[in-house]
Amino acid sequence: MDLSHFKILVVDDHAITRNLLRKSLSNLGVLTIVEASNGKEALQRLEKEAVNQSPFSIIFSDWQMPEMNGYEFLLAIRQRASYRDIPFIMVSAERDPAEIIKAIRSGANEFIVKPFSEEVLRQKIGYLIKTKQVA
Amino acid sequence: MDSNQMSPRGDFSVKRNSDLYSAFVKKGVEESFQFLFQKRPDLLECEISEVGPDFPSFFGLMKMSGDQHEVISIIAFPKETLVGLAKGSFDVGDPVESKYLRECLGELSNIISGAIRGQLLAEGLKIPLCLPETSLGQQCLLDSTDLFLKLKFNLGTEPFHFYLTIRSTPPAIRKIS
Repeated sequence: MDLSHFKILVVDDHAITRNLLRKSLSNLGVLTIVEASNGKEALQRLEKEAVNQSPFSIIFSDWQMPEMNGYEFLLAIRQRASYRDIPFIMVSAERDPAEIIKAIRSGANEFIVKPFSEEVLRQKIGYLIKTKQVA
Repeated sequence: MDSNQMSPRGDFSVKRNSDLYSAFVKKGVEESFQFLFQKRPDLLECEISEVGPDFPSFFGLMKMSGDQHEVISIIAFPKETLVGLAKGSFDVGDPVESKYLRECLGELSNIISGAIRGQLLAEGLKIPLCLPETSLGQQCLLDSTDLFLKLKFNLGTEPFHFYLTIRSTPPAIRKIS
């Protein structure tokens, strides 16, 4: 699985988890990783990259965040033509099946529960590639 | 008692369910430390405390309030233990900035409480997840007559503690200094 051409947006209010995701994604071969600390900041990042015509391959986003949470961020990007097709993986401590279903029904492609392993990340990205949700 | 054993339906007393709750708190703490710090703490003691905890000044707190119950979880560290975790995670030297200490407390609280909440959901207790509160250097006393499940863990330095209580009405937190 060659992920060297992937550009990934990691959104989490905790730098400690952003660091862990960055490290794991780097280990999987991803070379370009951009970070944001909440949904609002992530939207600004998306807009900036859209101007540069350099779209993201996948978005990994936490759910519980200040300013704009991951669910609000998901709804916002699914309403915008420029970003609505970017695969979105929610990464959260949330374990309520009803909430997970709510995220999937609202447009999240996958859901990862914290704590997670690098192997889980590999499997989720592999599934998106296999099902042609990302190339 | 293992963590698969169910508590009586609708009875969420930490005293009556102490074996069950301590099992899944232990699991949540161990998995969260492994994830965030690549360390595995050992459980030293578990007890039911009759009074609200008078806990050390570096702590993360989650108050998850539902329609009928409120779950409060607190993870409290001696300063040096927390500083050691932050140094290892962020590769920073002395003095460690407070933002790194809050990072460790906040995400630990978030992930451990998420794990506890998942177990309580399976037991029939529906409570929403929330954002954690953190405190550095503020001595606090939880004004409460509720019983607390208190777990003491060893991480190779000074022990740290995890507190859990489930109550039907919210207690107040009084700042002492």
